[in-house]
Amino acid sequence: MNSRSASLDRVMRVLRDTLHVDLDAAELPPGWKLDEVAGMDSMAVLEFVAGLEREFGVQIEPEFLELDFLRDLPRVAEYMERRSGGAS
Amino acid sequence: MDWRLDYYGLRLRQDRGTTPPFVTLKDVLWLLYLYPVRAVARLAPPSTAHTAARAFAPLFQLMRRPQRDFAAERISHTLGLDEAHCRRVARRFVAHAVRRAADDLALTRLGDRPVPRTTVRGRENLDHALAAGKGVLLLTGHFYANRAAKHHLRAIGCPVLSVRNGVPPDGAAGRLGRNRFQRRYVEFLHSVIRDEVLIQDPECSLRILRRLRSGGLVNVHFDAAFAAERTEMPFLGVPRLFGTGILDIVRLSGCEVVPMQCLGSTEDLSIVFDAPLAVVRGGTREAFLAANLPLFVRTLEAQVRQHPDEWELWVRL
Repeated sequence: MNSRSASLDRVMRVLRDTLHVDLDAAELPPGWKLDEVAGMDSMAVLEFVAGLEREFGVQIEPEFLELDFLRDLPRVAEYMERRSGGAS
Repeated sequence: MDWRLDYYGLRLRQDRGTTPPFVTLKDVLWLLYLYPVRAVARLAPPSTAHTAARAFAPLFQLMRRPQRDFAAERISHTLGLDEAHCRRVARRFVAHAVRRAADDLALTRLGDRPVPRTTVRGRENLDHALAAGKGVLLLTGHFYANRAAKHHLRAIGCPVLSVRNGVPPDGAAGRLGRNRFQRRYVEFLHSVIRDEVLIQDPECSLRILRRLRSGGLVNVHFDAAFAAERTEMPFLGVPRLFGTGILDIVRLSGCEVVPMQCLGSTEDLSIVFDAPLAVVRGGTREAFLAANLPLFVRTLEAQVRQHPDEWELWVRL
């Protein structure tokens, strides 16, 4: 399993833990966005952000605290992997 | 009588499902304020707004006498003051509403200038909290001088992101007011407040977090009615629902919480920052709420008890 798919799996695990949405990363269609299947009310977004930061041990930079970015899980996974230096 | 303190101080009605009247006195006041009064205020000397407010105040006291009497009853029931004292407090409460309407007009004339004759106490408390580097949540209730205070803070280099309801419930408005004037009033308030995010914005919490992460200030009125999740707590001697979202923000951001009390008006403004709250951190969400919600409620209650005439929510005027 390459590191990118491992990071995406970690993001999906955070999703399950914080938003209680159980999805398999391998089943995500191209271009799929989180809020197409999961309610992302304002506080849920914060829980998701906090969960990501706990999981990867890094803080998300303010300029990436935007819904357009956070709803794109592959991009989020790539970003978190880069921020954490690729450590799993 | 059931004296539950619902959000806007309205007596619980058996007929909550009834349609509001087409037009109410509130609607007429909105119409006058938003159009001819604002137009005149733009052109007249800045002090005219408060001069006119003082002239109008006795008439407003008469127009709002039922609400004033209700406010006096509630103040008596919750604060245990004697009848005469309650009536004086209620009278000042109504007068301050008129004063605040004048303040909003005066603030638009000030532009980026600070509010003259402003006293700020406890600035060291705010600075100490900001030094922690995780941003500060300014804890307030609905007090009349909040908008003037935040204008002043912005003008002196401490901008505050306000969180507001873009569609505030208003039991005093008729259908005409809700459909025609409320939106204009919200737009007008945006020109007064300027730095704000509405709860209807799907990015509301993210914008709050961005501001806190940048080491900035955010203000949420803890006694606000809007909340996806609420918990009942004793407040001024009666049960009241409080939103827990503000505590989630504190928990998830790690920000400091500084109580702020704003009193007076643009003619004589006072801003007091208390020591940062001793927030109990860590643990589950439930443990965080259990440990800290009572602290937030007691803080707000103390502010209301100290200055009951300056708190807006005894009754919707």
